[in-house]
Amino acid sequence: MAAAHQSPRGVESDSERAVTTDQQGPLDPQTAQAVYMQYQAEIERFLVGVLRDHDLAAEATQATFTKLVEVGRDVDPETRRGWLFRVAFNQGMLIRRRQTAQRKSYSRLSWLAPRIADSPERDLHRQELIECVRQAISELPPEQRKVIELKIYEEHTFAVIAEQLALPLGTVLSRMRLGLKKLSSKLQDQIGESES
Amino acid sequence: MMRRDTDATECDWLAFLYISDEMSAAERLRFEERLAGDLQAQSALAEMVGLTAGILAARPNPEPQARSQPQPRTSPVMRRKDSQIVILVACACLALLAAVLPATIPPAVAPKAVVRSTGHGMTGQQAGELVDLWSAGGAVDVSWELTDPTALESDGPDVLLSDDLNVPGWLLSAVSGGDTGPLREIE
Repeated sequence: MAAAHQSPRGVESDSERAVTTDQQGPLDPQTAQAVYMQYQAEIERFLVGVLRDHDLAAEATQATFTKLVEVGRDVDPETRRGWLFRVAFNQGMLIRRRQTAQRKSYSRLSWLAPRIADSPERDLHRQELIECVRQAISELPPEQRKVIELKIYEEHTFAVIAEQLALPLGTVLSRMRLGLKKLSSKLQDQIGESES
Repeated sequence: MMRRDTDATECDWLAFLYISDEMSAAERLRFEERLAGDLQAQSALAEMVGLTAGILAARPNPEPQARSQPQPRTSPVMRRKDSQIVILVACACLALLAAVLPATIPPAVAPKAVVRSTGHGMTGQQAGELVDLWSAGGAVDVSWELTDPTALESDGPDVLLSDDLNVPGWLLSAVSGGDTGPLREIE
């Protein structure tokens, strides 16, 4: 029975299997679409973090929702989000193993740069998000803003930033952490709605 | 979605360290173990990716995108080929210009015609045509096969000596010629 529940790519965690082995079956299209609309962006952002590549993340996201359609009928809606994350992680790991031979260095953050928006609606939303982020950054204390700029825009390591600003490493880490926390609390809603 | 407790904040921070590659190999492995099944770590990673991407997108100066776009590079071989192509095209243009230019220069300035002469003279009709062409102001590029050496003497002079036409001497010389060789350039 378990073999029959292997994904086409042959990866299935125990927890994933536990959720899906009772009465597996295809998810009805309307529910699948609703689940996709609700979680696709978050799952894809998660996979971008794991894979550091937008295209591979999109591929893994597609595989994740394909699996949901194939076997997601009896996944408890209450645990569906967690199920999706687990399946997504497995798909991501599978792709990453495949990519290991040609893996690039991911020491910089430029791989996170968002892609060009592909529709006017998304573009508008993106512009709104950018304005919100700029506003939130401008409201940060200058010392936190400086560390965030050096880390994310200039892509320096924390050690280099500490040296550059002649500050202890712990101070730099604290400023970064505080700055990110403020930005996160201010922008959480907008980021949640945005496309990665 | 709202995770405002300490664990969530810690998770956010770990997620940021993870994506910015500020973790040791062991820390990274440990965090990835959490990513396999810890919903808090999973959603923290998704949130940090979104936040960091948003901050990157909000950079005031859009230099990173311009910088990240690879500039087209050409190898020395390609550059050499390019310059050879440019030279070839320039030569072709010059050759074309040289071929077309004589036809576009007004006859009064510098008409040049090459008359391929066989040394046998030309018929009166051919001579008349040449004179007509000249008087019409057109450029002349004539290559006639002159077959009848006596024809010019019989009826050609009547046409050539017409006072109505201002015929230059070189033309008369060409029309009546044939003695100076097989190919003459008329000045």
